[in-house]
Amino acid sequence: MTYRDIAIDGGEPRSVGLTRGGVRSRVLIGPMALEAARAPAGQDWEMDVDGLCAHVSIAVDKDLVQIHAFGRTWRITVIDPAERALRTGDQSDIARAPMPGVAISVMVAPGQEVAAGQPMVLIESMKMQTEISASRDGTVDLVHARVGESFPLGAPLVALVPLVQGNV
Amino acid sequence: MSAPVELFSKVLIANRGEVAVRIMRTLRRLGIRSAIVYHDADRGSLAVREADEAIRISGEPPVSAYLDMAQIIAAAQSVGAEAIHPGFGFLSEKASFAEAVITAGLVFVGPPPSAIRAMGDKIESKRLAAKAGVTTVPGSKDALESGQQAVDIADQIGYPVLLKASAGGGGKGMRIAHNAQECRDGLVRASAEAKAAFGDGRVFLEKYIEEPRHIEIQVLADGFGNVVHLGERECSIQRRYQKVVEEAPSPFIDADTRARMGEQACVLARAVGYTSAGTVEMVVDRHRHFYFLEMNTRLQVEHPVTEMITGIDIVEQQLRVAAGAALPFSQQEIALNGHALEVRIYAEDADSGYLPATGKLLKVRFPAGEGIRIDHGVVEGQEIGAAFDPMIAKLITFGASRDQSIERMCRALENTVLLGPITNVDFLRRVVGHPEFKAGRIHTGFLELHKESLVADVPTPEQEKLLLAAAALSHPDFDFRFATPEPLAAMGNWRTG
Repeated sequence: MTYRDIAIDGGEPRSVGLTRGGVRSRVLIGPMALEAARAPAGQDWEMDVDGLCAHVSIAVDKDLVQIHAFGRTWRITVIDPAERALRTGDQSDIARAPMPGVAISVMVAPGQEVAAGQPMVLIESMKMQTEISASRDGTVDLVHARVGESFPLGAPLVALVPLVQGNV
Repeated sequence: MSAPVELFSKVLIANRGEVAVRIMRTLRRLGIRSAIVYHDADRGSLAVREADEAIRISGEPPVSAYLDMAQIIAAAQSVGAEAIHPGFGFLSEKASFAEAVITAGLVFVGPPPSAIRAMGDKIESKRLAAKAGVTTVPGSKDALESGQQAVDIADQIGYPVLLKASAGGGGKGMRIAHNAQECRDGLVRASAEAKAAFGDGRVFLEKYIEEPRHIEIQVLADGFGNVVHLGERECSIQRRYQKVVEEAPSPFIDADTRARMGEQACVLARAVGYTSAGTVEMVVDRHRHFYFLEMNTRLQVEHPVTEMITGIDIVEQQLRVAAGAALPFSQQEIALNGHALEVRIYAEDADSGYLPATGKLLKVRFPAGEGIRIDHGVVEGQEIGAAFDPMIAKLITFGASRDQSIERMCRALENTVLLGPITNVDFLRRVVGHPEFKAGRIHTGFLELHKESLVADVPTPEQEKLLLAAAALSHPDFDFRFATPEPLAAMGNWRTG
């Protein structure tokens, strides 16, 4: 049986285990064991889990499973617990792009002291401007953002000098 | 009825996305060939596929291509189009573009440049409107000189009043006053605040509109002096000053108010020598007093709701008027039937400050059925990027009553499958299904006021089980191939389901 942590719409992750069967599969959600049946219906699926039936449309993109069911779309993330434990680095050291866009202005330079909440980069995405601010007091280490250059979602824009070198 | 006028044989659309597809639909019905300009970012888009001809234009960022008058006019000439329809946004309200089109010997499907120019400037258009006898928000004409002057004007127009800095913005230098004392204090404070923030302490006074509703009148005008209105649209549900839900007729406007608003809109259109389709936007207070805001000299995003209740194809009338035809109906012949609702489906995270979202459209399925219209320009597999406006589609429902169109809208939204970027589809269903929306108690502060009762539902325990199981069954991590201890893994690289 394979286990993963699965979270619906950014909620609390649940440990889910699965053993596939032909029509019926065995699903463990935490300590709870269920039978799940799945049958193709056009491009979609008919699901029957523990007596609840639903027509579901599904799209999978890496760790994100999007499911349209019960009249709306649910965004579900599948996390490998082993992989998560390996994830390193203090994310708060790096200000990342909350959306893809273009840097309009860069207000900080390497070596500069910044205070928590201080705007560091102004970005624009779909006609909307957003300020990227420092998450904590610190010193700017690297500035990745360049005025006029575009970047994808999650791209590092500014990195602060880590508080403790060699951490994690 | 006027004598038949020959329509165009080919029209170039200087736009992209859903409005381009929408215009093509009417062109095709009228037997007119369609040409479209496109940037590489839109290659393979629905609009480009559906057009009879597509001409590539270039620019960086992509949006600049659609703002490049010379390239667009050259494209129209290269394919022998007689007219250019600008859609909305981009060059649609640029008088200089309309002029350039005309100078190039082509027809601009829209009002004359002079009317675009007259309505293009907010202060100038307000002055023109007031001169034509259109009601504008009452207030001081010039900056206030003393507290006494402020109180005198407030006494004339009635409280509450808004004291606002000439250079104001973001709420700075703004005060609401409910009586003379607050008025005097407010002037001093607003002036000091504005002086500190903007270096300009001039303060104006105007009537404060409580629970304002955004209601607009659709007008149509031809080149023979005929001007009619097609009733109102209410667009009070807004976020970041952008409309999200629109409807016609407004649940708030009675026949008498409609007639008076319509008459004023027509008066203004006549005053500026307007032709084609245009929209006079007004703000309406809770006593049904209405005041002119601005005139949009183009097709509106929300025009479908008017089409649904009047049976008039507004794009067709734009094309006929542009070709020199007279409007085929008089004001008396325009009847409003039923109720129509439109929602704008955006790629955005409505639950996190309406942040724009991007990504590939992995699965697209729009609802169909009685009373449902969908205007969109997307195809499955298309990337929703940051280069353009995040609107994916407009969903429009029609019903015999407002209740029926709301009910149809809720069902239609529930049956809209858009997997890929985050969209506001579920948020829209919560808005349209909100008891206060259903009751018609709406104003421009609706989304802010009700944000706590508009949050997403969490799944029920039964739904949660099914969703978790469905996710596990679909995710490759749970595939046999990756479950190494299982003997089946030895059977090789195959996949179930």
